[in-house]
Amino acid sequence: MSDSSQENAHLAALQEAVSQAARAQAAGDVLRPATDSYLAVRAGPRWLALPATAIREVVLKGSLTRIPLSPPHVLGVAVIRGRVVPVISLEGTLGVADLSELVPTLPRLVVVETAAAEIAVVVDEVRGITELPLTSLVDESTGGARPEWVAAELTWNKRLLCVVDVQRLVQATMEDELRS
Amino acid sequence: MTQAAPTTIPMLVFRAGELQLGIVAAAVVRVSTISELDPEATDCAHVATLLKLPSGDAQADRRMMVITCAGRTARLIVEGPIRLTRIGAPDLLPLGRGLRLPALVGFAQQHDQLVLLLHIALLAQLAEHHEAVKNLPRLAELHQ
Repeated sequence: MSDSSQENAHLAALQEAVSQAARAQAAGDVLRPATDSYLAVRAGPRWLALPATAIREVVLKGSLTRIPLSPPHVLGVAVIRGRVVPVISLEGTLGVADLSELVPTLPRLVVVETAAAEIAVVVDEVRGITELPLTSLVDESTGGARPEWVAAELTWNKRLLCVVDVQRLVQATMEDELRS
Repeated sequence: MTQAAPTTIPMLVFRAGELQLGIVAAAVVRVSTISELDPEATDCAHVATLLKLPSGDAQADRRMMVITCAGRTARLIVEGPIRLTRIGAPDLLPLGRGLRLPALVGFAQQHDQLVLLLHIALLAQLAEHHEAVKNLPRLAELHQ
């Protein structure tokens, strides 16, 4: 499909959505698509969406302490509100980055928790909470290999956004810790 | 007469690069200074190598430490300064949920510094294994 015909198709779909909303509003039935809240963050070149319900807090990255016999994606531990929490590099789990270059420049830790564990994920930028309609969580990936903790890939603000499955992320991290 | 449980445990704290590592003092048999030419030291592994941690530079104040645990005696190289301290419950930091630490028993905070408390049995096992692997070529020579 050519660019102009693709644009026309998008415009037509948008127009239909607008008129549908207008019809519903006129009928007193305001359209409110079901949404979920996500924290949009950037880790290296990747944009990620972390489910807001799994986030405990976002803190400035202080000093990290390396720990023995840990896999490369575990950068160390940080003391956050008096607790020792492992600090994870998502780039490291993908094995694509030179971590020695990344560590000193990364400014935020996003602490996420599940029933099993809590981990702090290093990010470069926090864009804030964004509401993603559940219908938009349709996987738009092109079929390339991706880590198991990426639940879906979708377009957000003209960027590729990886929706993170926190349960799987924590599980993958813990399994790796055990293997080391 | 019953004896009250100790409120603090004597620990030896030493360094591996930037990190402060602590070991139960009762498990340490001997600490000695070493020189580059010391034949005994050449077989010993640096604690940082055993634990896959960054070690300090070559100028670091290196010592040989002999440790014992559960019938195992092992030698390793550590970096000074070495200090004797007592660690009690108030010094220990709670661990985040689910945190697994294969080589550590926990963390203590003293003088605003984090001390990694080493799992002595695992450390002795790693040091013994390292020394055995290093001695394999010599054993092979003896058999020839």
